[in-house]
Parts: sequence; C-alpha cells; structure tokens
Amino acid sequence: MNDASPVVFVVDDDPSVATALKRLIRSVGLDAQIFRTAEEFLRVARPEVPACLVLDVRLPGVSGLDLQQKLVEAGLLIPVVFITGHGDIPMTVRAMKAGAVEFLPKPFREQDLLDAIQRAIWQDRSARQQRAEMLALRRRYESLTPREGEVFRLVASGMPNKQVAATLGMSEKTIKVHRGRIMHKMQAESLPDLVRMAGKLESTPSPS
Amino acid sequence: MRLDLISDINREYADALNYPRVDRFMIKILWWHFGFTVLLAVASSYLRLSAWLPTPFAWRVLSIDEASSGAVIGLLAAAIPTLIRGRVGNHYVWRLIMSAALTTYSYLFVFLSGGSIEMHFHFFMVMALITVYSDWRLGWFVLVLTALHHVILNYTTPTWVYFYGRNDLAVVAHIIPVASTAVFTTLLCVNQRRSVATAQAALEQLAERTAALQRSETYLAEAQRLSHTGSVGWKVSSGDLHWSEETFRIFGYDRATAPTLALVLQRTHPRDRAIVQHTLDRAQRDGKDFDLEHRLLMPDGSVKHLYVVGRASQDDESVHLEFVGAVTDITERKQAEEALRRSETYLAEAQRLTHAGSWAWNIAPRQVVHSSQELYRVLGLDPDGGLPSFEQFLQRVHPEDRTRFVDTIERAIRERTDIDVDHRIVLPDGTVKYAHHVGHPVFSASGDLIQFVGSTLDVTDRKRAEEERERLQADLAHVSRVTTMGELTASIAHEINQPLTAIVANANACQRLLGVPAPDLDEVRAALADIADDGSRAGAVIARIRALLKRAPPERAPLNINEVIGDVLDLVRAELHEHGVVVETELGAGLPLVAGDRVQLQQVLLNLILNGIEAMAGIGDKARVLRIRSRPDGRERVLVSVEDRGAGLAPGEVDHIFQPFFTTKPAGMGMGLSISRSIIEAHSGRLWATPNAVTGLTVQFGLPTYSRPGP
Repeated sequence: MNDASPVVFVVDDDPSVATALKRLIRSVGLDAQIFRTAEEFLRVARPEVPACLVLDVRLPGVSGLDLQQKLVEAGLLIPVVFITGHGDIPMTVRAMKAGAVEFLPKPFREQDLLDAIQRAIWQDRSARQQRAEMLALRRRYESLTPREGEVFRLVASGMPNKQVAATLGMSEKTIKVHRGRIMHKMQAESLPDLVRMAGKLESTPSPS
Repeated sequence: MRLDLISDINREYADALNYPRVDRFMIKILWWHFGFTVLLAVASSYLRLSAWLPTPFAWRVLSIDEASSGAVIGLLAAAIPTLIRGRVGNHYVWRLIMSAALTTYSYLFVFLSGGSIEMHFHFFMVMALITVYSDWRLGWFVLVLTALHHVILNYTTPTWVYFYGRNDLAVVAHIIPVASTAVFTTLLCVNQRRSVATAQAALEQLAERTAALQRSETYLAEAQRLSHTGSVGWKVSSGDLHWSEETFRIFGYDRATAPTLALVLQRTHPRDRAIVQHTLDRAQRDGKDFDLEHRLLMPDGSVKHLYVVGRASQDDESVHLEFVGAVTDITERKQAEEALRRSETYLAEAQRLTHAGSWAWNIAPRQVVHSSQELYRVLGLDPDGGLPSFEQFLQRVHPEDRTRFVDTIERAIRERTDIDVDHRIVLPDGTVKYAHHVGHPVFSASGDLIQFVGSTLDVTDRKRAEEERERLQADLAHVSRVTTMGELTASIAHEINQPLTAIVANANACQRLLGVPAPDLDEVRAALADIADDGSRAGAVIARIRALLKRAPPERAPLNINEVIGDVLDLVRAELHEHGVVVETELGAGLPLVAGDRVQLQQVLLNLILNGIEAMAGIGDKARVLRIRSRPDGRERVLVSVEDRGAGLAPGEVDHIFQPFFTTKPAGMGMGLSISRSIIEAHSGRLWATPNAVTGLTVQFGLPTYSRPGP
C-alpha cells in the first residue's frame, strides 16, 4: 500500500492554470488529476493511494475553504495545499487552522508548490501508515478475549502481576499465562512495547 | 302763361309775402266799409242828407226800407268773409269771396248815395286794394262781376241804379276805364309776381351757393383736420399771413390771433429757428418755392414735427410776391418712423447678440430678397455690396456640407416643408463657423410656394461650448473610470495572475520535461503553446485595462453591444467570482450595431455590473444571479439591461440614484450612475432603473442604432 504511486488532485476553475499545474506535477513524476469545481471533485471516487489536494481558494459555487471544511467534517483526511490569486490573512488563518499544509499566493515559485506537494504526500503517506498501524493494532486488540482485555488494560497501567491477580481475584500464574498470550496476540516484543500499544489505543478513539 | 283760375298762388310764395296777414287786414277794411254803409244809409234816409247838399251832390232820399236793406247787405258782406275765414281750405276761394264782398260795397255805396256817380270810384279803390295780392285773376273776377251787375241792372232797373237813368253809351264808356284799369292792374300783378319770382330765385340760388360753399369749406376744414394739413397764404410785401383753421390748430394759436412770421418763429423749436429763418429769408429773396421740415415746441412742452411747403406766385409786375403753402403736422409719422427705426435697431441688436441673421429668398428665380445686417456679418459679406446673390450664399457653405445643404433645401422646396439644417460656413480668410439654418415656406394666396424666410444662426460659440462640455464630461468619465479600476485592482491582479501562474508552471514543467534523457517533446510543445496563449491572455487583460484607463476623446464608431458586454464580463470575472455572483446572459443574436464609444459604454456596463454585485453582497444563501440581457427595442434602438436579485431600493430612492453623490455603498462616491447616465445621454440614449417584481433592481439603457454618418 505504501508503495502505490501517489496522486495529486488539482481543483482550479481556470483551465489553463489547472492544465499547467497538472503538467508541472506530472513532470516531477507524480500523477495529477484536475477538477474544475469542488462538486466535481467530491463526485469522483478517489483511489486509496497517498494523495494531496491542490485547491484554489476561489471557486465557483462551493469555495476552496468550504470544500476543506466539508472534507474535514466528512473525515476525509487529505492534506490540502491552497493556492490563491489574492489571499488575505483571515483567509490564510482559517485555512491553516483547518489543517492546510501550505497557503501559496499566485504566482508561486514551482519549488514552493512542489515542496508543499511532497510534504503533503509524505504527510498523507505517514498518516495513512499510522492509520494502517492503528487499524492492525486495534484488530489485534479486538482478538483478545474479554478476560485478556482486562488483564491487558491492568498490565498496561503498570500494575505488577501480583496486584493484577489480586484485583481480578485470580492466581498470579494464571495472569502470567494470560500475559504470555496477550504478548503473542498483540505481537509485542516487550512489556514497554505493550504499554506503548495501550497508550496508542487509548489516545485514538475506537472507530466503532 | 298758364290760365289757372282756382288754385292758390304757390303757398311758399304766399307765405313769404305774408298774405294771411293781408287777409286779416282786408277783414278790418270790410268792417270799416260796413260802418260807412251804416252811416250812409242813415244819412240818405233818416237824415235826408241829399236835401242838404247842393245839386250836383243832391240825390234821392231813400226810404227806410231801402236803407235797411242796404245796411243788411253791408252787414252780410262784412260778416260772411269774416265768419268763413279760416274755414275755407283754399285761401284763394276765400279771397274771391272777399273780393266779391268788397265789390258789393261799391254797389251799395252807389245805391245808398242815390246813384251818385262819384261813388263809382270806390270800384277803382277795390281794384287797387286787391292788387296787394299781385294776382290778376282777382281783378278780372271783380271786373266780370261788375260788368254783369251793370249789364243786368242797366236792362232791368235802370232808374234804380243810375241817377241819370238808362244810358247804354254810359255803360260802354264805363268799360274803357274799368277795362284799362283791369289791364294795367293785371300787368302790374304779373310784373310784380315776376319780380318777386326773380328775386326769390336769386335768393334761392344765393342760398344754394352759400350752402355749397359752406359744405365745401366744411369739407376742406375737415380734410385739413384729418390730414393735419393747414393752408397758409403769405403776402411778402405786406407781411400778411393767412392761416386756415387747421393751421391755427397746428401752431396752437387762437383763431382770433392775427398770424405773423414772428408767431411762427416763436413756436418754432429753438434748435430749428435758425434754419426756419434762413429758409424764409431765402424764399423772400429769391422768390422760389421752398419746403422744409422743422419742429415746434408747444407751450405744454410737447414737440411737433412739421412739413412745410411753399409755392411762389408772383403777379405780372413781379412786385407782389406771394406764397401759397401747406403746413403738415407729421408728428405721428415721425413718431412711427422713430418707433420703426427703434424697433429695427432692437431687432438688429438682438440679431447681433444672438448671432442670428435673418434672410428671405424667392423660389423662382432663386433670389435673395432680404438679408439682415447680422446675416452679412455671419456670412462675412459686405453690407454695402447690396443683397447677396443666392450663389454667394451657397459659396459660404463649407464645401463638404454644400451638397447636403443644397439637397436639404431642394427637398424642402419639393415637399414644401420647413428647412432645418446644420452646416459649416467658411469665410474667405478660412475661418470656419458652425451655423444652424432654419427656414419656413411662404405660400401665395393661390397656395404656390413663393418664398422661404428664416434665419442663419452662428452657433460656433455654442458648438465650442458643447465640445468643451463633452471634453469635461469625458475627463470626468475618465476619472470615474480610473477610480473604478482602482476598486477593481485586486480582481484585475487576479485576472493577470491566473495566466502568469499558468505560464510559470508550464515553463517549469518544460524545464523538467527537457531535463530527462528522452523528453516528451509533444508535451513540451503543448506547454509552450499554452504559455503563448496565456501570455496573450494576460496581454489582452492589460490592453483592456489600458483602454479603460486611457484618456481619449470620445468617438462614435459602429459597435456590437454584445462584444462590449463580453469585454466587460472578462474584466469583472474575478470580481464576480470573488463575490460568488453568477452571470446569466441573454444576448440577442443579430442585433443592429450601435454608434458609440467603446470605452465609455464599457464603463457604463462596468458600473452597472459592479452595482449589481454590490447590491447582492448581503443576500445570504440565495443564489447571486446577475442577468444581463441585450435585445432590439423597436427598429431604432438596442436595449441592454442588468438585473440583480439584491435587496432593491427603498421606495423613492429610484428617483435619486442617478443624482451625483447619491450612494448606498459605504465607500461609494456616488458618481457611477450619474456619469453613466450622462454618457448614455451623450449617446442620444436613455438610462433608467425599475424595481423588479420580486426582488432587486433592473437598470437598463437604450441606444440608437448606428446609421451612416450624416451631418
């Protein structure tokens, strides 16, 4: 999945700008797809590859900033690089707060754009990676039995086996067996590793 | 002589000689006769007078019966005419009766005197008395009556009448004096009547002549009064002046005054006295006719103008020089002349001030018959050169305008309509003037076109002022345009940034594409083509902006209004975008061209579109749609409307939006619509606004379509 070639989506109503950007992006070996409007972009299903969105702030109908908002609300996490004919500070602030990677006033230096795109793709790629890792971790966590889950949460909170056995009213030995099975199921190499996994699971809410 | 025995002498004649009075006197005479009759009757009978008188006078004593009968007859002879006087319509008949009565007394006197022959003389007295009427017929009546009396008595009772008894010879002897008397009295009467008639005719003639003279004098006086002309006679040697009534009136002297030269000079206006004196002196010296005009200064301070003419007449000895002349009061004429001159002066002054020269020219042949002073000035002609010819008139028209000018005039003649044409005038020194030429046809009583009258106005100053105004308006429009463009800076920057961004991106892409071992040259070519296109696009935007910022005199060129709309939409696309405004266009296909200045019309559309965007800035979620339409309006106009869906205007604001400095925008100057309207009006068009049925405002303008450049 990580090796899939990334794609850059360009939304700009000016066809010549869009075409030029597509050509530029392709010249550095990235795939580029161009859309005239936000609606058009939203209609098209995107491949599950690392991607970023080069978005013109000013668009007919739904504006660039509105599109960003909609994507955030829909949980469609795609890094956005804004380009604009004339941007002002409130606009920039709003875009950056909503998680924009970069806000580039036209005409921009190609390197700035390409850097921003690279950064966005890297960001997307790492985000995707993280999301994939999280997903695996959660699946592993969900493969635990309820009892194993209880033991996992208490062990991860730093309790010694003895105390865990006392809390759960079980023998220390039984706890050890559970721990071994938990370590295996969770593919943890060491106890700190397991603790880190628990932290990750806690910080990221369950999608279900 | 006509024998007329019965009619009265003509009444007027009788009245003139007062016969009625004579009649009354005759009655008195009759009664005296009666008195004498009574005396005679008493004396001859009762007093026996004859016995007392000597023989020749002694006559028969009458019996009392005879005397009484005589007295009774005498009473009747007096009483009958007295009683019937005034009751007989024909006075002549009465006079016959009266004559008969008088004659009766003759017989009575002879009878009562016992036939005394002397009493016959009474008959001659009767004859003499009745000649008072100058009517011979009365005399002859008395004569015939007496003759009958004599003849009858002579043969019936000769002793009763005549003292001497019957005597035929005596009768014949009577006839001679009596007839002679009758003849003579007749002649007397006829002669007297003739004399009276002659005198009367002379009197009548005199009266007639007098009346005629009076009439003629009245006419003359009236004529003199009406014509304000008095007559004057002047005997130089004696210095006598004779004035007619009107002359007195003119000089303002009483008729009783004796006219003298001194009086004339006294009335003469002091400033004219010398010339009057001089003229009169010379007339006296040379004995020649003279005429002069001078003024009188009347006692009430008024001034009269006189025209005096004198004709010299000299008698044979060349001694007594006399002038007969006329004095005419020409004050009214002078005043009328003065008023006319003044009115002409005013007219000339008014024409000079308005640079309007009036003219009139006949149709056949083309001939100028009137040209005011100002027209000479406007056309640069010499007023002393007489009326200009029609050709001279035409020569002054600018050669480029001449054909059109002549065509206009020929058409007006053909169609018998007014002339109204603008043209230029070229003076010989090359000066060019602008003229407005208007004329009106004049028709004869039979309806034929005979003349055109009118005026040529020198409108050069107005034209220059108009040009100046147009220039100022253009300047203002330019300033407004620059301001608007300033407001659009951000959008315009975006419009230029877009192609620049594309150019930079394409150029970078090319560099990279060429940086690999096997470059994709097709892609490079496509990129370069796009670069060229975008460069042109940016250039076009800049050109449009430059055109709008340019300060050039407005021109009138045929334009496709849809192209102008397209130009402006290109320019404001970014602005529309920025405000999320969608433009819907309904541009009429195959619209006629309009005549106008592209930049100024772009400015108007720019204003209307920006106003529309502004109006919809605060309408929230609703779609911001600006509808721009162009369509033909009738055959001669093209209508363009810009319709927004904004909040519209408050009631009453529609009336104000075209006023300068009226604005609903926080930062607006309020000049846009005002300038737009003046631009459209300068294009002979109209710009107005109407609220939409639902919401928003529609601002539209109509422009006349382009026609071949005329005048």
